[in-house]
Amino acid sequence: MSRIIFVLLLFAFGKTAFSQQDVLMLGATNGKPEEMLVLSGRVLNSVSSEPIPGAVLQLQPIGLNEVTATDGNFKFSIPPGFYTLIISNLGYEERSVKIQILGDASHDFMLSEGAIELEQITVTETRSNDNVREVLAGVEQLSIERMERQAKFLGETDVLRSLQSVSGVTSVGEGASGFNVRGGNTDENLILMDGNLVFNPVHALGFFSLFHPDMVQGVTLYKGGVPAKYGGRLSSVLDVRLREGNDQRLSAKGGVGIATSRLVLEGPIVKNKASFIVGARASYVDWMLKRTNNVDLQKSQAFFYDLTAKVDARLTKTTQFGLTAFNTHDDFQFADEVKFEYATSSANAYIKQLIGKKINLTAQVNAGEYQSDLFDVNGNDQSQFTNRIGFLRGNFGGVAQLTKGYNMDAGVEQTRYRVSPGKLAPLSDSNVKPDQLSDQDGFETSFYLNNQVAFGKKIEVMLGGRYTIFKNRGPGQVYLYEPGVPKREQTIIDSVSFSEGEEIANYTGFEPRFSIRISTGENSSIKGGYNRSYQYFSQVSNTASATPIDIWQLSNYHVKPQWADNFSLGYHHNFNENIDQTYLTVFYRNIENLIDYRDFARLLLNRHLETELVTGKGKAYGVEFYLKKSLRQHQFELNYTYSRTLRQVLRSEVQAPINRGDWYPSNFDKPHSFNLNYFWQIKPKSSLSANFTYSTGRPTTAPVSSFSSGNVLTAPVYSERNQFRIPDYHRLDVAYSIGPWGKKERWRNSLTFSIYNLYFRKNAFSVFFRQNPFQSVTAYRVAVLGSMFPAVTYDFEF
Amino acid sequence: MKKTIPATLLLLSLLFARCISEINLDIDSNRTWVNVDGLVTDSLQVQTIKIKRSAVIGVGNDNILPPVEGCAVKVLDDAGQSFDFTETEPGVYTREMQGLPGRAYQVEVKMPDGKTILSRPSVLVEAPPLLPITAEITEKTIIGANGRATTTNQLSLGMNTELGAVSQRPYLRWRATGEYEFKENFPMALSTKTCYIKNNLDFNNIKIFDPNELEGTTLTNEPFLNTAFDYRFADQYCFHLFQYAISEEEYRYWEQMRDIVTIDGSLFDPPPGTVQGNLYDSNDPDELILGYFSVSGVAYRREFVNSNSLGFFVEPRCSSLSFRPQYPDCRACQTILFSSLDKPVYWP
Repeated sequence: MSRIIFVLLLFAFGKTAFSQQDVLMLGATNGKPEEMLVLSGRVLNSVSSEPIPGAVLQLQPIGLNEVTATDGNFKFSIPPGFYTLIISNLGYEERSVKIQILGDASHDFMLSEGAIELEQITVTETRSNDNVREVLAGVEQLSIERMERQAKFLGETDVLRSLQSVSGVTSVGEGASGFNVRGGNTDENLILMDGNLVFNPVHALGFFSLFHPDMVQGVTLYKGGVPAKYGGRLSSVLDVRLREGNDQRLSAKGGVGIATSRLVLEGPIVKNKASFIVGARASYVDWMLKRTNNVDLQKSQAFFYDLTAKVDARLTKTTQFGLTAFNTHDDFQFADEVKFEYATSSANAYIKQLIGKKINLTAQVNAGEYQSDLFDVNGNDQSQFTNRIGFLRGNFGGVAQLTKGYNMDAGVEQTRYRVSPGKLAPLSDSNVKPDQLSDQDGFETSFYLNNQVAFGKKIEVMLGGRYTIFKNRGPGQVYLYEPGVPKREQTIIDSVSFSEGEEIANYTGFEPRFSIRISTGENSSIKGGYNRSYQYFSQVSNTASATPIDIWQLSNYHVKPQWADNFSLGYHHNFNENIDQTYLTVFYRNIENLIDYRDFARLLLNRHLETELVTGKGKAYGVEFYLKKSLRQHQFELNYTYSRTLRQVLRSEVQAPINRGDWYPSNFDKPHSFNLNYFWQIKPKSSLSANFTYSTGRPTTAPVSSFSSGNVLTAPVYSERNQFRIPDYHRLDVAYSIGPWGKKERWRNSLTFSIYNLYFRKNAFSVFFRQNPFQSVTAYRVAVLGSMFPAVTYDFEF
Repeated sequence: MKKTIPATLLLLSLLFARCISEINLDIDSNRTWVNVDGLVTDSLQVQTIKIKRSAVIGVGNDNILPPVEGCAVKVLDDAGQSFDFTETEPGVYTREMQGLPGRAYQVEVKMPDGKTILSRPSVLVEAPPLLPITAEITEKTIIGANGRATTTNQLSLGMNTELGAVSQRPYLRWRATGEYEFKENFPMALSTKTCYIKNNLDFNNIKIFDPNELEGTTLTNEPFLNTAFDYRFADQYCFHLFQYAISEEEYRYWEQMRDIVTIDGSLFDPPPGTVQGNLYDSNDPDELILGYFSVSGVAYRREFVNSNSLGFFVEPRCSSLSFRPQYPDCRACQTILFSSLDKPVYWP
């Protein structure tokens, strides 16, 4: 018997050894040769282990082709047997692997960078038809490669600037914090960076995003259909994924620009099993400002830094652990006019466990804090106003492939928010009296279930829901108002105090999620979707643009949660083997309990903020068009959006109407938005990119008449809210990149020359009105970057 | 390299030197509104109510408001009395009367087009007496764009009042006018004149006070006015100070007026709004009527200050010993705006 076993073992190992030379055996046999098997995995760079998107996999002899997604992933569904897998990608050596598929298997393939002949260079890259096959409508995937093709501000690739080239995404203008999706407010976007909740995604008044460009692997924006696992915001979900560190060798990457520099270090902790990646970025504009002759500039500050670190480890073959943490800080001051600071700290840890082959469980914990400080730096009233939002969130969920073509994911999420809405502290010999509002506590619990079912190849449906419970708890004080009259400080009739942990308000909401994809051909599909979302806190700001110092307000006894119904319907079509892509989407959003502000609202340190707020409803609708076209070395991306975003605040017993109860445009209503990106791969190591952007000027309230009263001889009469528009926004940026050059696996260098706002357009960030004695009001335009702005950046990698 | 650093700094300065330029918004509006501006006090004097229309911004002389003539204007009180006002100038309606504390007053304006405008009734509240003002000289340093600092002396006035002197602590509004003595002087002068010049101090200066912010009953050195400490104070300067006891509604009105006339265009300004007072169209309450009809108790105080009383020397504008070139008005002080050779009876 032992001899038989020995012979069998010898045969088995002998075969394995033989196979490793010629045939790669993948998967364990399940004894059912008639079943289709799944071969999945990633295509990675053999040196850096970075995923390679757009790599082509050909499976011979059956002739199946696949293209890797942005994260390098691919998947085949094939019968067991022997195959030849040919993997190729521009700039890499083609690789051919003989494989035998015995059962479902996952395997990563490495590609080595290869010499590139000039004749081979085209930018007609091959892409998958994921955009057509994806069941969710309104999902945008931005790979870092796509972002790098766009002209850069100060030589840096920037996630949020790139995002604004996507249909339906706009910004109020230069110097604005955040972005607006399909007419939603900036606080209606759920922003996640590797699972970390981000409240303010920008540095330096919005000129840079806080995502370190050399650490970003890819970005997904859900602006239409949103999977049930995401919630808490009305407009969109921005999921920024950071790449894993190189688990093979220590390497570094960075760049030196005229205003900022950045560095990334990465390497193995345990080779092939655990890696780290650490990135840092800082501006040194401060140092330069101090050396100018202009007094205003000498008093100004524009310093920021961010530190991001990530560790990933494969603990066992089925268990993965990861930790991402980041810390950012901004100081900004312009002369004696305005000064503020803001900082974010957050850490997220996750553990993933594969159970069998079809269930994947994930547990995640995320804690963080965002704090902003506004300083009064003038005169005898020097003070510091601080507000803060902290959170602790945990979630547990899993994805299961129940049968072929049917996936289900479910989970639970709990978040605790702690908001400190305002603390005023005097500075030096100030006359200001210290003041502080009490903290607010909120608990949001969500349960979600999502089913994704394919009915043959043509139809795929995602159906799910999310149930949320929100509790506002004490300590706190609730003011009660005289019924039947508008809520004002003067109409307070009583107040109720709540002790620590006592429930002040409780809200629940069910959020159905539905998406359908109907394929109309191999490369075309119609997609539709509906989802509802509840939002239990808002950024309270009555300035035209969101600012880093806006306070956060949880839903409470008086402030009801906002909720929105989102509908979208789109047609997607790829041409020319998925190289060229286009889509046309229409959308409609209805928002209830929308918060707006009465005229002259005072928001800071207001103990009865509800007296400054009015409640109404909103709607946004529009059509989005996108076209990507490649012509050899040239690539064009064009998108156009027509959209409106309107509000209505009716008269009621407790509030006065806005604009007599008529619909009026929101601050970020920009009907026409157009972007054209052009990329030209001139030579293998040089490229030119240009971006043109145009959008309708945003609405503003303008003086239309003047009157007198007492010792005020001419005071302005303003129009109804948002009845006029500031001038249209448009801008052209260009960038020229050279490189990389240098020896492979040693120093590699590149240079980027960029010009922002090539034709000196003075785009209005805001329009304001000034009045000189005995004169009527005059309109002025503030252009934050009212000039052409050239820059050069040196990037390196080793 | 030597050229690189200045170039870089220039580029950075472009980033931070915000570009502010005047623009024309395409505003297509010819709408105007009725503007009522009236005041009735508990002082026996000629009370004035002005009725105008607002002016369209950017059209003609838009800081001059057209008067509305031919209105029937009366003030009504809650005792059923009616006080008719007479149009003494185009759009200016006057009458001598004295309001009584504790009584509510409202204005009724019948427009030539048949509209009737009313104000919400407001109770006249007695004003507490004004105590002597606090006057201090402070240095103010201004740094110009060239980086040079210029220091000037400023006169700061603080209001003092005793709110406990009246039964009901009212909201307060302060106004002031000034008057100064101007002595001609020049080399070889055979005779010189002295002028008395009225000085408008409170244009757009909205100073109000919420009594709920006061602990106790005595308000001390509440900042009221800052003005350059210059030749006007070389001889006598007279402050005429008025303290009005106003309603809470009026206080909110002036708070909002202050907001719209002090918007400075910072990046974080809240969007502006239109200030609505206590006036309405009786047939269309949603129609905007601009202005305010104020019903106030008033306290008055006169204060003289000069460089001696303030302990700070200031050079007169005209001096025969001065090495500076003489100003033309040192020979003809009547040429100064709002000047008079008549010495006021209260002048020391």
